[in-house]
Amino acid sequence: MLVTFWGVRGSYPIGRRDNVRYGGNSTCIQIQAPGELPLIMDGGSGIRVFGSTLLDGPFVAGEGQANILVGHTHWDHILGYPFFGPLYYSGNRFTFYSAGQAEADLPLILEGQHEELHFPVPFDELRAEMVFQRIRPRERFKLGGFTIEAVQLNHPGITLGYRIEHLEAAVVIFTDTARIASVQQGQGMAEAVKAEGLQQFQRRFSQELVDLCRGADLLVHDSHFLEEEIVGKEHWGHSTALDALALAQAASVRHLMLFHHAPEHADDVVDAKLALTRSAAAGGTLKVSAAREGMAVELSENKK
Amino acid sequence: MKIRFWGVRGSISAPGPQTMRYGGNTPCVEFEGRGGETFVIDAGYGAVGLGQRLTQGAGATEQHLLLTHLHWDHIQGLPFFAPIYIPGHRVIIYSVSAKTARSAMDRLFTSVYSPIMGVENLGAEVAYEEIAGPFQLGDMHIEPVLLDHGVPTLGFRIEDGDSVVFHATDHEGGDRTCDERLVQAARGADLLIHDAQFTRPEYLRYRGWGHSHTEAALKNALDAQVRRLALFHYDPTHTDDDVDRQLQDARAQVADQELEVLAAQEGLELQVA
Repeated sequence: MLVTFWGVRGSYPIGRRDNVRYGGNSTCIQIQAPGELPLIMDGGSGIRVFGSTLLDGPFVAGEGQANILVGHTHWDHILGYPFFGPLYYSGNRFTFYSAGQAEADLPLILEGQHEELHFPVPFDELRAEMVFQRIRPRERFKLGGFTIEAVQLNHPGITLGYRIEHLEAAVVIFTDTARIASVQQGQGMAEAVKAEGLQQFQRRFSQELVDLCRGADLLVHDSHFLEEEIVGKEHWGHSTALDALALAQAASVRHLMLFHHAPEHADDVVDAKLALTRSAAAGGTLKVSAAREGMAVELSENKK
Repeated sequence: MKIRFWGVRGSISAPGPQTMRYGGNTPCVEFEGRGGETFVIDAGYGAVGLGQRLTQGAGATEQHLLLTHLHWDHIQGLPFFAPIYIPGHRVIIYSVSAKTARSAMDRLFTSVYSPIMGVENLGAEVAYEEIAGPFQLGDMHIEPVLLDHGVPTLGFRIEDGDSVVFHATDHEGGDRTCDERLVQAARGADLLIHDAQFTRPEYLRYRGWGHSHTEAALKNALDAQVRRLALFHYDPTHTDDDVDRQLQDARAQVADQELEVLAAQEGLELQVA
């Protein structure tokens, strides 16, 4: 399995001279495995660049097919779809997997980006066939040879994190999630806290995340805030790198990939965040990296 | 008048090593009149940098934001424009229609798209002004002109008594009536900031998309007899080298004219006199 990063930045895409090493595009990750349809996580501005690499194969012949996992629909995760070239070719087929939103379903949310007032190209000019599937947290399902399982993260609205397995390889992607000890802000969480009590809910939520990450080869995790920045912003829906490290260690993950870098962080700030996390992980077997645009990580599918 | 470019890229932000000289962020331009008063045209992601500067130290607590139109690339920076979260600040949004500007703000901040979960959660007061004709901001006189871009889109002639600037994005050059209106209003300006999304060969593929090619920008600049032309609103697929070539090509075409051509660049400050 090969995991390629096309956008690693959180909140909004941002171009600056001091962030070109890690990259300024917002979230988009491509997951490939031999013989499988392409799998894409998120349509931030990175998906425009990814799309431009597809425009000489089946996706311009109108024979392309891909599956798209939608984490959630905040701008930074969807603003690239209207610029994803393959969506404009008749004959291509994209299946979107997402949680239901109470306010509106995914097709309406995507169509909203094409309102005449806000975008020059109408939604129906996306000539590819778009199929929408609703998925439920903790329900395992198959996409060809991939096995997928989602969990609801701690972020405003409904945000899903995914575990994706292929043969013996597993990657887990948690793009946006806040400390459960500080805040319970996902849709339905307030009710759950009321029903089962705060401590029980927190224990159950934390255990669910650990269970989903257990033994994964790669955990791609929100690391938006520096340790000194999160104070007072715990309710903004994001983690620190050390929060990500704690989960990776608790779940015996092999490789932690710091992700969703804050837009205001220059490359040397991300370097420092990575160095801090590596020194906190020193002595263990866990490998720690920081996601860079264009980076590809190969996960072994045969552990023998 | 002073002009600072905070975002010059069209359609969608395109950050990366190949766009870092001209800049990858969507449009935002700041104007400062000779009396020191300021206003901003458009709030693409370039507005993030401006917002950070505006909230450092003791600056003005009132921001005037003129929107050319409501396409995402011209408003998407608003949820990340720092003054909008600060109690005691006031952001006044000027646009063709207060009603549609309000609905655009609702949509930008609505819970399916934004963790802010609604405009009611903003710290600043947001006010809406409708642009119905020429108006005054401090010493600056602003005259709106309808451009050619599908949805109602405004160009602005801006005068501060010392100098005249015309801001024209997004605009598809080529329609005679529209171009004449622009040329009339831009006449004699010291600087014309003009949509130059495409090269001419590209334009032939994207006719009707609401954007100009280099020659269309040059023609309007020459017809309006402006002193300087700033190419603006670059296509997201264009690299810095592409913009260099576009600029060279434009300069070569007007080598025997008085017109000076430059390419707008993020971070560039122009003194126009």
